Amino acid sequence: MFNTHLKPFLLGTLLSFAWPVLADPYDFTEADIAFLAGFSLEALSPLPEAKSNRLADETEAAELGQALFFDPRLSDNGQVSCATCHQPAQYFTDGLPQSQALGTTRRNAPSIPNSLHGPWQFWDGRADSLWAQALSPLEDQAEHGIDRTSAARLLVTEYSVAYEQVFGDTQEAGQVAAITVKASPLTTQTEQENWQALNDAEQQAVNRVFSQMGKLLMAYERKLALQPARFDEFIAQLQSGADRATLTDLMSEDEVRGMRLFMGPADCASCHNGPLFTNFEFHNIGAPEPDETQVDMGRYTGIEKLQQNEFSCVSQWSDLEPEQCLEMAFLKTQGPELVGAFKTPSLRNVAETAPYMQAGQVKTLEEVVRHYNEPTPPFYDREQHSSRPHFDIVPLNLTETELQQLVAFLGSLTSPLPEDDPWWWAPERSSLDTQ
Amino acid sequence: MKCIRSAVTITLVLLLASASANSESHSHPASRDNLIKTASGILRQAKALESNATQVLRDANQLRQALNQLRANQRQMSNSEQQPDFDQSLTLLSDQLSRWQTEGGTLRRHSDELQQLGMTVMEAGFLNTWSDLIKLTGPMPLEKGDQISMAHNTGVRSVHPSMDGRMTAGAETEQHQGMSLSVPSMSGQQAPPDLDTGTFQASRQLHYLAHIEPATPAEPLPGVPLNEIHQWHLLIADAEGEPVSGASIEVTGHMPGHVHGLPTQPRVTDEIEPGVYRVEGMKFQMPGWWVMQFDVAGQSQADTLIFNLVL
Repeated sequence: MFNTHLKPFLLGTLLSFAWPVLADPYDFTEADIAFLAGFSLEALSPLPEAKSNRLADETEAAELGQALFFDPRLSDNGQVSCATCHQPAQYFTDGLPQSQALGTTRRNAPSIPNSLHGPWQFWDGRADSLWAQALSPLEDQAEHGIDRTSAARLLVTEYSVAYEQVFGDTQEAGQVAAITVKASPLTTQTEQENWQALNDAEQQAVNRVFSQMGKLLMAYERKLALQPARFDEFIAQLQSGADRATLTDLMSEDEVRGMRLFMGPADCASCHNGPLFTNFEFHNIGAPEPDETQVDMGRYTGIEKLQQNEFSCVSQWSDLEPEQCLEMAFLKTQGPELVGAFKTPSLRNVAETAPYMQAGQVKTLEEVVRHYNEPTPPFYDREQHSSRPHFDIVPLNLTETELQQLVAFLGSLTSPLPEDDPWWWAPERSSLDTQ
Repeated sequence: MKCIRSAVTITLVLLLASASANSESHSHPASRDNLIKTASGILRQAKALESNATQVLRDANQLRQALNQLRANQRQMSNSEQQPDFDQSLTLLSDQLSRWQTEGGTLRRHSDELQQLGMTVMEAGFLNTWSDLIKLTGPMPLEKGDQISMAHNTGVRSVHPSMDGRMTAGAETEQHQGMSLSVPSMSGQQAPPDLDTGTFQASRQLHYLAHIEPATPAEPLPGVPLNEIHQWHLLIADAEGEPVSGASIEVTGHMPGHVHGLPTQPRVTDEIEPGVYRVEGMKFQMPGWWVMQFDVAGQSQADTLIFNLVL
C-alpha cells in the first residue's frame, strides 16, 4: 500500500509513540555515520597523480598559472580571462546558463575546485587533463578567441622572468618571441593561413609553449582547495559523538531529513557519491534538450573530440609516453550509454552555482529536483541520434515537502569562500608580470 | 534401456575420475600434464550426464501428463469390465514414473558431483602446468580499502512512460543491518548466493579451460584495485590439456541488472608464453557483481568463457 521508500518514515512515525528516538532524524547509528563519512571532504583522497604534467605540483608554476588565469590579455579583445567565466566569488562559475565572453558558449561553466579529481574534463569529457582542458577555451571564438601563437608569445614576453624560473632558458621561448603574426591551426581563416606559413620548427615551438601554458594553469587550479561545508562539520561532529544541540546548530531538521532522502529514497547518492558527490561517470538523465534542432550528443561526440585533441596525454606535448596513457589506450569508444550522456557534476557548492545542467537550462535547484521526481525521457530524434539515448533515472514519487528537504540539504554542501586563501583570488597586481 | 545405459556411464565416469585423482597424487610428469585433459573429459561426462538427466526427467514429465489423463478416464470407467486391467496398468505406469523421477534426480546429482570433481581436477592441472604463474586459487578479491557498497545506478536500460512498474514505483532502496539510513538498492546487482565465482572455468562448449587473475603481484593474494586501470593474466588450455596459442580474444564485462559495462575497453595485448595472455585496461568503478566474458577464437574452435566476480 505504501511505497517502499516511505516505509522507514512511516515506521518511524508509528513507532515514535513507543520509541521517540527512532523518529529523531538526528539519531544516527554507527553504521550510518560510517556510511556518511564516505561523503565528507575528510575522506577526499589526495589529488590524483598527474604525470602528463610534470609541473602539476610545482608552486612556482602555480603562481605563474594564477597570474595567467586572471590575465585578460589572453584574449582577442584584451577583456576575457579564465576568471571571466570562472569567477572566484562564484566558486569559479559565472552564474549564467551559457557563458558570455567573445560570444556565447554551448555549455554551462563548471566549478573548477570540484574538477581536480576524476579522469575527464568538460561536460563531455573531451579533455583528459586539466592542462588540455585549459587550452581549449583560449582558442574558442566564443570564449577568449586568442590564437595560440599570441597566447604563447604573451607568456614568454610578458612573463619572461617567471617563465625562465619555471622552464629555464628554453629555445622555444626565443622562437616564439620572434614570431610577430597571429597564427593557429584552429582559429580564423587569416590565422590559419599564417599558421600554414610558419615552418615546422616554429609551429613546434608555439605548440610547446602553448602546452606549457596549459600546464601552468593546471598547476594553479590544483591549488584550489575547498573548505569544509556545514555538512562536513556535521559529519565530524557525528563522529565525535556531539550532543543534539551541536548537531541542530550545524544542520536544520529539514536539511537532515533531506540528507536521509538524498542517500536513499531520492536515489541521488547512486551517482552523486563520495566526498565530491560525483562518480565521475557519464549519464543521461533526460535533462531538457537545450536546442532540439542541434542535439547535444554529450559523451558520444566527446569521445571523438578527445581522440582528436592535439594536447591529450598521448600527444607529444604530454610528459608521459603514449603507452603510459592508460585511460586513452583503453578508452571506451562504443556503447549506447554514451549517447547524450554528461559527466555527473559534483554537488559541492551547488546551491551557489546556479543555473544547472549542461547548458544551464534548469534555473533553480527546485526545478532540478522536480525533474528527478518526474523525469521526462531524453529527447530522441531519429535523424540526429545514432541510437535511442539511454535514460539513467526513474521517477522518485517524493512529496512536495520531501523535495523541499532535498533542496535544503544541498545548501549544506556550500563551503565558505576562503577569504584568506591567496590561491582562491586574483593575485595583487602581479609581480610576475614584467611590465 | 536408457536407464541402464546411464548407470553404466556413471560407473565408467566414476572409475575414470578416481583414476585421475590417483594420478594426481602420484604426480609424475606425464600424468600431470594430462590432468587438464582428464578434467576436460570429466566435465564432458558431467555434461553428457546432465543431458541424460534432462532427457529422463522430460520422459518422466510426459509420462506424468499421460498418467493424469488416464486417471481422468479411470473415473469414467468405474464398474466396467476392463477396470481391473486398467487399474493394474496404471499402477505399473505409476511405478515406472517414480523410478524415472528417481533416476533423473540421481543422474543430475552424479552430474553435479562430476562437475565439481572436474573443476577440482582442472584447478590442479592448471596449478601443475603453470605453477610459476598462478598465485590465486579462490575467488577474485578486491584490494583492501574502505568501499561504499551501494548501487550507483538503477537498472533501467531504456525507459518509456508505459514501462511496467519502473516509471511508477519510485527508487529502490534498502536498509543495511544497523543502519537507520536507507541507501540505493543493490537489487539485480547482488550475486545469487550459490553463484560460482571461481577463477578456473570451462568454456560453454567445453573447448577451452581457463583461469584468470590480476597480474599485479600482491601478498598474500593478488587483488583487484578499484577505479584503477590494471592488468590480468588469462591462461587458456584446450580439451587436450595443451596451452592455446595465438587465439584471438575479445574481452567484455558488465554488471548484471545494470545499465552499462566496464568504464574502459580492455583488450588482450600480448601472449606472454604459450596459452598465457596479458589483458590490459581492466577497470572496475564499483564493487559488486561483475561478469567478465572472453570470446576465444582459437585455431579450430570458437567458444566463450564466463567468469563471475563479486568484488
